[in-house]
Formats: sequence, structure tokens, C-alpha cells
Amino acid sequence: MIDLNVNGRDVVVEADPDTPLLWVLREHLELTGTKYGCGIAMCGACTVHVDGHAVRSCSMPVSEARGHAITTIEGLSQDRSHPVQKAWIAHQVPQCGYCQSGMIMAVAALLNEVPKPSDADIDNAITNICRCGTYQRIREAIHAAANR
Amino acid sequence: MSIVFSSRISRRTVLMTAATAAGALVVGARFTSQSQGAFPTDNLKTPSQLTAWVRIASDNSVTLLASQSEMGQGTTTTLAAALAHELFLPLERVALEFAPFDPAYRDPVYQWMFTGNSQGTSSFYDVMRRAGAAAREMLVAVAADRLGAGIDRLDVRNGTIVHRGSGRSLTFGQLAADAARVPVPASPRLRRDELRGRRIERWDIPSKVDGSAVFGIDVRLPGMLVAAVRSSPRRGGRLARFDAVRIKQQPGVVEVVELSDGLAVVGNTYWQVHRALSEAQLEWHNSGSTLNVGDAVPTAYTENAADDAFLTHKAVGETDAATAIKLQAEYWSPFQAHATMEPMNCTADVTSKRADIWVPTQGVELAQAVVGQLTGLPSDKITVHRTLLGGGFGRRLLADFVKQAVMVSMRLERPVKLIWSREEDMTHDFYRPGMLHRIAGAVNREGRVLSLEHHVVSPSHLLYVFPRTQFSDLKDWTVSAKPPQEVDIMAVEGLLDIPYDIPHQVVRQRFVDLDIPVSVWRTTGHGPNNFGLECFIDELAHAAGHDPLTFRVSMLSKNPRAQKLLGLVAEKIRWGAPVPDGNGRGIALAGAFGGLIACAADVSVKGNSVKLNRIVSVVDCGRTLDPRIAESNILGGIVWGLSAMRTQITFRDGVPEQANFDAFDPLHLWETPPCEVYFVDGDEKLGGTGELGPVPVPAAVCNAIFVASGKRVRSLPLSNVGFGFA
Repeated sequence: MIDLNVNGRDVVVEADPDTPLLWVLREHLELTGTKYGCGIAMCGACTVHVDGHAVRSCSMPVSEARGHAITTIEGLSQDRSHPVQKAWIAHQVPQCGYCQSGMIMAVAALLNEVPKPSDADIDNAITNICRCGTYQRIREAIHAAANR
Repeated sequence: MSIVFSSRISRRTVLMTAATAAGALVVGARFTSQSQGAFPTDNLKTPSQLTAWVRIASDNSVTLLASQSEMGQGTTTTLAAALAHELFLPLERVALEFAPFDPAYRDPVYQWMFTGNSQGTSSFYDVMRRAGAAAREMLVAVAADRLGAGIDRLDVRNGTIVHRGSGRSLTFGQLAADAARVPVPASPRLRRDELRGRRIERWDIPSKVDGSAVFGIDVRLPGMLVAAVRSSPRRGGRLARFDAVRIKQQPGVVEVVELSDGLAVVGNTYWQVHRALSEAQLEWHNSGSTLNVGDAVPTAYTENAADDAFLTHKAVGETDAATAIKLQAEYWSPFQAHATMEPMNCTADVTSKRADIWVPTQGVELAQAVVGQLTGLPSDKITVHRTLLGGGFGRRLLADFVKQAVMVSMRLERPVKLIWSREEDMTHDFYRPGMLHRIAGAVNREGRVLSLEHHVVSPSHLLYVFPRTQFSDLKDWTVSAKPPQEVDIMAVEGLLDIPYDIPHQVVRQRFVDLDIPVSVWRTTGHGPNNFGLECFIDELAHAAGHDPLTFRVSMLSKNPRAQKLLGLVAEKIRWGAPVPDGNGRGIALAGAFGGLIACAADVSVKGNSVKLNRIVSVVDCGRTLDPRIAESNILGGIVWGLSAMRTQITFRDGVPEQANFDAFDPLHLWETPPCEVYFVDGDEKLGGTGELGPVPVPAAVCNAIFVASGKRVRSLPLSNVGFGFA
């Protein structure tokens, strides 16, 4: 039994302690917005917030998430009202969309730390892979969200 | 069981399972098929496009049954908008449902139900308009009768038909049941096409920013188990030994199922079965592929190069090139993995009575056939439910993973979601085959190209995707089947009808057989072919001492569309403006997927590092319907084309050497240069934009690298010649 705090809610899950947080979110808590892409922290599709910081949940054992505030894409806002979500819609960023939960979480964490990121800040912080190649609109939407 | 999408179109829920509401008008419209591709249709079943495209129910709901899958290319938004326009409905009022398999939903060109080849919009745009117009006329006919008014006195607006004189009105829902009994008009009157140039918000985007979009990997059924699978590391090899008892002792494991070339471990959660499978000591027979492909061109491509091994696709004109400058060069494009962000997966629920599968697929008809082949069930007891696709790029035309899911569900008699690990996905792809080009050309001092001869060595791209109705005796729908060579032209597409006016042209191909599976991949033959063609044209220009832009334009006197594109791309990239040492601009032109594209790249080369400063693409896709959707396809395509200059799959003794994104490294945000996309809008036949964007990118960049560094890149990935992106 592991106690977690996910999207502001205290939950208890029955999972092996070495289970990656990703699979606990997806399978135990049915929060499937967080995606599996590579399992080795290379692609970022599984990005969530742990105490406000972007973390690749495929590589964090659930036991390490205990005692931390976890936010998933489902908890970013109730109604797609987070500035990043709004910018993503306004700029029609997603294509297939599979990587976008992770992108949005990575960007939301960046904007928490650097409210007006430069292109260089974006280059350094957003290392997720998008196979559809939506990067240009991602960059535009980040600037738009920062200048809202 | 049903899964719901939240959908911007409907603002209600869109049921994936088809459940026709009582009293619904289901419009069937007969459309004749036209054969326009390379595929013979005369020995196919007679097209039976009596099709249910739109369902209007008594509750006023209007549902489009979509033939096309949605993988981010935006087709389903554009097609729904075409239907809504004919019905005078705002798009928000149209719900979208992915149609199950029916011959009616087949692509009219290939007579095969699939999504691909960049032709979803061009194949179905007019079909949608006619379906909407037919439904409208049927509703109006009933309204005229009930209101006792001539149809010229009726207005259709917002789901209601209004009598202009009295103001009396009837809703679509009130009319639907009677309208269903009206004969379908053979040639309904279409409204003026007002969608050109209109930017429509894609219905699927809101669900893709809040995590609610349902992909295949997100499907959840009551009582469902989860399966992880490991197939032979060496392609085509077989499992020799495994310890079933020990695997089943692992936590969460319920069962192990031996597959034709591997093992599925089935249990309660993915992580548990994945871990059990990773720790299982599987032993493999020493069988399967022995292919070796490193950085060099594999011997299968270079041996047996005798002249009579080549099939002549084209040989026109003669040349007297005695005094001309002659060039010869060899170009290599490597094997590639699709690497969709969502790994292959399929959920199957098979009983003795029926089979349901939930799958992110481009290949509905093939999936349906494979389920039928495995279960022996008749087609009406099989439903292929489609989810959104986390990338397709051609990989999801195939049904190898569907086969596995169905086999496991049959064995366990339970619903099972089968998920591939990234490693399984990358090492069990149906790869874009490596392609070898030997090109010879002659150019005179005046800069006139006299002769161009292409020898292409490539496997067929169509071994697994050629419409399977062509092979009447095919027992296993997942095995390869060779199409007739004369229609198997994907390996030479883009070379047979080049835009340039060159008097002597030869295109020949040798089909090479490989013991690993290969198939179509975003750009298919067009990508590698354009890389060879447009770099070689550049080589000829430089050899003759001419500017690569004017050199091209001088060969386009009969192609004003292409001239226009080159003119604009040159202007936007500031062609001819001075550049510092180590910088260069390159240009390339391509005709592909029913469209034309010119691309220009501006790069700096410092040592081995290639910095991409800017990419400009100018597109003529016949007519531009939604410029924002089209632009997103081209922008993404540029990134795809750049990634293809860096990634490759190599093989050692039949085993793919790249298994994850650490070794197969697509472009990232920080490497993506500023890109500009312009559309030159003509009034031509609709082309596709899904795969057009990447086609000229490698040639444009390599031509720029040559100007910047003096080094000619003739082999990809760039690391083959020591380069990498900064």
C-alpha cells in the first residue's frame, strides 16, 4: 500500500514499490492522459509535475513519489483554462497529440520557473520528442502563453 | 461496452460503437469509382459505394461516419466541415464516428479501406459534399410535402427547414424517419465550395490538451487483462525454450501464450507483465534473418547488378551527348523505423460468437480480414473499433500486432489489451527499406541537361499493403505478397514524371529481396528518390558552372506552376544575397502526392556541425482547403525530413541495432530551425499535404551543405559523411 497525493487528492494504491509512477497513474488511477513512449526517460511523453517540477514518470518508482504532490495533465486545470492549454488550442499545436500531455506539463513547469522564457531557455528546457514535428507551433505557443 | 470521445464537433459524446438510432435517416449515395492510380481495378470486386456516410436521428443529432482515421493530419475535420457545409449546419452540430469496416468506406482509388498515401481529403472531399447534399435534398423533399410548399420556398438553416412565407419549420430530427424512405438523389446539387482558405479549429485538439483523447493504449474494458509481448530478436526467428512455470510465478501474471515467433505474458497490469517478460530467460532458435546492414550500402544492393536484372519503367528520347559534361553518382538512403510515439497496441475481445477489436489503425480492412482469418467468424460478427492514432506514418496500415492480440484473447477467452514496449516496436517494425540510386546525366556548357538515367535498387514497398483483394488465394493476410511488377512503382515514384524538360530519360529498377519486412513510411519512394534526383540536378548545375536556381528554372518552360514555386521560394530564402564563408543556401523541387513543393534551406557548416538557420517551403497542393491544417502538415513534414537525415536502422545478423530513442534520435525542438511555409493557391485537382512536406528537405539541406562546405552528401544519415546537426 502506497499513499500518494495526485491532483490534490490523497489516494492509496496497491502496487509493487518499484512500479514506475507512470504505470500507477495509468493503470491504478486510470489517469491515462500521461503517456508511455519510451520507458527510459528519453521522450518525455510521460512528463508530470512532482512538487511543481517536470518529472519523467516512466523512470520514477512509485515509492519515491510518496509524500510529494503529483500533478498530471488531468489536474493541470479543470476546464482547459491553464494558459498553456489555452495557447495550445489557439495555436492548434497538437497533431496526433500523443506526446502533447507531456509537452504541456513540461512547458507549464518551465513557465513556473521562468515566466518569460527566451528561445534559448525553451531550447534547454523542452527536450521532449514529438514525432509529428509540432515544434515550431510549440515554440510560438510557449511565447504566447508567457505573454498572456 | 462503449468508449467515448469528448469531441469539439459534437460537444456531446461520440460513441465509437455504431448504434443506429430508431427513425434515423441514413444516407446512402452511390458514387462511381474512378481508377486513377497505378493500381488495376478491373479484377477487383465491382465497387459498391452504396454508403452510409451520415446519420440523422430523431433527436436531431447528425453523425458523420468517417472512413478516414485521425492521426493528427486533420482530415476528419475538413471532411466533417464539407458535410456540414452542405447541410447548412455549423460544424459543432456534426458528431464524428469512425466507421467500422464496410466495402462502402473503401478509398475510391484503390478500392481498399485505409488511411494513407496522403489522399484522405482528395479521395473523400467530394464524396462528403455529395453525401451532405443528398441528405439535405431528401430532408427538403419531406419538408416540402409536410409543409405543402415548393422546395424553392424552403430555407435550410441550423438543422431546421423553414417555410419562408409562413415561418413554419421542421427540424432535421422530425423529418429524418420519412426522409429515410426518399430515394437517394443520384446527382444532388452541391453548394458553392466555401471551405477554401477557411481556418477551422480541429475537433480533436481540445481533447489533446487535457488528456481526455482516447488512443488505443488507453482503451479499458471490464475484465480486461494486459499483455506484453516479445518476438524473436532476430527477425523471423522462433522461440526455442521458456520456463512457463517460472514466468507464471511472477506477481500479477495470469498466463503465458506462445505466439508464432515469440511469447506473450498476460496479467493484471502492464508493468507486471512487462517485468516478468523482461526477466524471463527466453531461448531462441538459431533461425531467421541474417541481414547485415551497417553504414555502408549492403551487399544485397550491390551484387547482381547485371543490366538484365533491371526492369525498365521509363525510357524516352535520345541524346547526342558526345561533347557534354557527363556525371555519375550513387546515392544511398538508409532503412528507417516509423517510431510512432504511441507504440503498437491492440485490444481484442474474442468469443466463439463474435470478435471486437479496439485499435489505432490506418488499415481497417486489413485488420478486419486478419480477425476473420484467425477466428473464422463471418465479417458481420467482427467489429474493428477505431481510436485516435498516436502517429501512423504508414506503420499502422499493418495488422501484425492485431493478430497477436486476437490470438491471445482467443486463448484466454477474455478481453486483452496487448501493448508493445518501445524496444519491441522499434525492433519489429516494417521498415522503410534502404534505397540505392545510381544516376548518370549529361549537361552541355549552356546548362541544358541532355540526359538523365536512374537505376534504382530497392525492395517493393507494397509487399504488405498492396490491396489484399488482389490476392484471391491469400490465406494469411499478414504475410508478404508481391504485387505485379509493372504496377509496383512506388520505388520509382517521383522519377517517372519529373517536372523538368529533359530530352532523354531512363528509369530502371532492380527489385531486391530482403529477409526482413519492409513497407511504406511517410514519403515512401518519393523521399529517397527526390534526395537522389534533386542533389544530382544540383551536381549537374555546379558541373556546368550554372546557378542551381536558374539552371532548374530553364528546364521548366512547360511547367509554370513549378516555376512559380521556385520563384517564390528563392525570394523568401533571399537567394543570391551574399553569405559569409561557411554558409550556404540550397534548393530542391518535388512533385509528389498530387502536389508540388519547392524547399530552400539556409545552413552554416562549421567543422562537422551543420547549423540549420532557416527552411522555407512553398506549396501548391492544387487547392488549399484549410491553410492552417495544411501548414501544420508541411511544418511537421519538414521536421520529419530533417529527422530522416539523422536516423537510421542498421542490422547485425538479422537483429535491428537501434531499439529506443537513445539510438534512434529524431529531431528535437532545439534543433528545429525557424520554418516558413507559403501556399501558392491554384485551381487544380486536390493534392495531399500529409507526406509532401518532407520530400524535398534532405536534398535542399544537402545542396546547401555543398555550397557552405564544398562537401557533397550522397549517403544518409549525415553521420555517414561525418556531419551532424548543431
